[in-house]
Amino acid sequence: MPALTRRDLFRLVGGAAVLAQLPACGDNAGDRVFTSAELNMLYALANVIIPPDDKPGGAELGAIAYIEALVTAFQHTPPMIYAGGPSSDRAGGNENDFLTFVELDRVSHAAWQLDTMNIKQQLVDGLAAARALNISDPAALYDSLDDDFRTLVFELVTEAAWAAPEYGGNPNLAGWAMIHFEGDSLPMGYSQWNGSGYSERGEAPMSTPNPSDPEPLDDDVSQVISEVVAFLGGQTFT
Amino acid sequence: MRKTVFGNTSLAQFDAIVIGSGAGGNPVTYVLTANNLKVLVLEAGPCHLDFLDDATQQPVPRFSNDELKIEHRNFIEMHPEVEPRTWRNTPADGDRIESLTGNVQNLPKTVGGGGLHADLKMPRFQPTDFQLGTLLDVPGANFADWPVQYDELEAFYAWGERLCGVQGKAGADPFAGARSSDYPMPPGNPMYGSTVVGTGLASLGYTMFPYPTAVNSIPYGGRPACVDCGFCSGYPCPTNAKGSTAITMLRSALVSGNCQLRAETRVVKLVPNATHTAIAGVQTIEPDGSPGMYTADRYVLAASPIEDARLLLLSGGLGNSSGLVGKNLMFHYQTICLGIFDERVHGYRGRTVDHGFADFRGAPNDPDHPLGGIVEISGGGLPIGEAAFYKRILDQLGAGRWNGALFKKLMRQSPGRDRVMVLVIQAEDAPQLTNAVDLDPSILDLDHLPVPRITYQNHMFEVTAGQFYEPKLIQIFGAAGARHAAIAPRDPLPASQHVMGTLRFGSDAAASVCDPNGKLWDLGNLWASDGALFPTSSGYNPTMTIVALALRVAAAIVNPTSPQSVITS
Repeated sequence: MPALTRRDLFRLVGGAAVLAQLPACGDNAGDRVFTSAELNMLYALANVIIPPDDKPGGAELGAIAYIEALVTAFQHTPPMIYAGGPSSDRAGGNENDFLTFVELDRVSHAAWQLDTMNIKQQLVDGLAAARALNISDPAALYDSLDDDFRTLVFELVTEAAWAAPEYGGNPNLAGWAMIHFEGDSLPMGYSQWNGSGYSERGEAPMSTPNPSDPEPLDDDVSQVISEVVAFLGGQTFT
Repeated sequence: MRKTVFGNTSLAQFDAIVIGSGAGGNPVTYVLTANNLKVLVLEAGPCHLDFLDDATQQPVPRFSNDELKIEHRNFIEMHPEVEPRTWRNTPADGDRIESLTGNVQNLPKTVGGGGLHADLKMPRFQPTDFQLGTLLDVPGANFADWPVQYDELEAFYAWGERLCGVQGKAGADPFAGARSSDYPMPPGNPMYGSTVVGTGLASLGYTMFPYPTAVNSIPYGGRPACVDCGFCSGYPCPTNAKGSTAITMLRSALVSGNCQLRAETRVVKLVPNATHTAIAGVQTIEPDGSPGMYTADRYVLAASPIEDARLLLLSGGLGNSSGLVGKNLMFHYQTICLGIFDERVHGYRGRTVDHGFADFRGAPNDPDHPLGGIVEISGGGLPIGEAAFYKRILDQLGAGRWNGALFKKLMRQSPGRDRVMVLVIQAEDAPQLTNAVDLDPSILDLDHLPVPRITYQNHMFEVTAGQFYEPKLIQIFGAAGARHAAIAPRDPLPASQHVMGTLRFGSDAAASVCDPNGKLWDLGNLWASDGALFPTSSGYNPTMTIVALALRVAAAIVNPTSPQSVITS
């Protein structure tokens, strides 16, 4: 697998759209967080967690951009920890309030400074340990990772895929689209009072069934559910 | 520059200081300021409600439909890295169970307090809930009657429902106590998932009813109707449709001219007078980390039960002649049942919980109906949490079960979010003297103060009741057409964030910390007004009772001989 530069990764995860979301954090060597080899490994691990198929994988869903935005959050003012509110422009809003990050209070500042520093260090250490395993197959490497590090990478990759795109991942809302999730819904919501009753969205009703199922349960998923229910001592109804 | 002082910033002398701006503090602030007392509110957390003190417009929240920010980055909650709590089940565990240090029943720390994160389910307690000391005799438990009974509290319940704006349908819950008036507004638009579960309930003879919630079903109080955005339970409201006490009562107080709110101002010590018979002032840490000091004639503790007790203990053990400060800590004992359907019931669209039933509340001393609690009919969660759920279950199935392709299928087909409904019993938790808050002997927070340590384990009273109702929950999902149903495994920490007790009130100074009006027996000018007062936990969500009780505490401060005369229409 070729080494990836930060610019390569931005292009892979949606290029201009993602760069436009992120305040100037630059692309120069001065603010590089990870080496190309480390980025390469993160990219591979992201695609183990969410493999690409007919829909994007974890890397294309913005894992690297998300992780870099998090560990460099304090290079920005205010730190890019909490996107603003109350709404984006994705569901009827005129402006995207998410783009204005929230100023941190004393305690949040201390907590997140500590958190981002720890996450960065855990990633650097975890990737070094992973490299030392000398396992070329990404899936086998993922299985061999230290439990805490594997959990951290899983959390970061899934946050990238399914958090709001202002945090650096979920380019073009591809993560939400893949799982048939409408995302942030304000100001429209799912049900609006019209003076005498409620109006709903035809494609995403609240009080009635969906018009169709975009992706019904298949045998693999049904089998897993049955196993889990049996494991928990639950009941399956026929 | 972030604003931290709100309301009448020129006020310098105060009749009362209220510590905390949640569901227990804001009703007090509202009543006192409405009766022309000058009140200073000290809130440890930040204010994310811009224009909260502007009479010409509604507040503009910084809250949003943002799962990462609210649920995974603790936007409104305490930060366990720098303000952790510790936990042990019994002293035999040593100083603490190290692996559980961190997020221990952390509630929001922000203007609005715990009332912000809830989907504001606001049922009242039942009349018998106030009499369990008389009605029950449970060895090892410490049940006590409330010094205030339902009949007296009813008018305060109704007042609180009007002030917050509670939707509901009078008479729909066959187990509810008598009401003097209907709910201020009708139930909102039903969610599809609860309608599906309702078919199962009806076939088994249970009575589903619209959950009383402080969420606008229609425009009310100058605030809009809820649009059912879906980010509700655990989420502060971005549209002001939820009638939290912050945007109703505290806002009214701030625009009255009689109130000053200082956010990011943490009270770290209550300073007694020379004879330790009253509070002379409070020491604070200011928004920039510098020390501060404020004084008033009266003081009200409303920082939540764990923090209330911690503050008294940090202040040298004030108010503790009974030895009960921090004791009888309670959480609701939640039993959670997942029902997975073949169809997408899209329970994430809507108010999370819009219906419930109370058939599993039971009755005292009835072996066929043990005391459990109201049951919430809830939708599923959101995608980031869903992903973690799948990882957890695949890991639990054993080595080799995880693979990315299967995980991706689970996310796309979504049995754990789009096809799931959840039943949650909020069951009575027996009060016990051994369940308590004290100060951890060595763990300090960001400000170098000892963190609260929880010592807690369940009593068989609630455990056996939970076991009794588990198969009935599964049966309901079967009757509703679910494909699967299972009881969720219990975590080491309680699932509930309903925190109660620690400063129980009562009629006997030797058996309680506070008197029937919420004043600490030992101190002439210190009251408590939040869930810390509860002698028992009931089996209903606590917020409505916290609000009603806080209104009564304040009314008794204004008029000790006739609190009810303070109620306004």
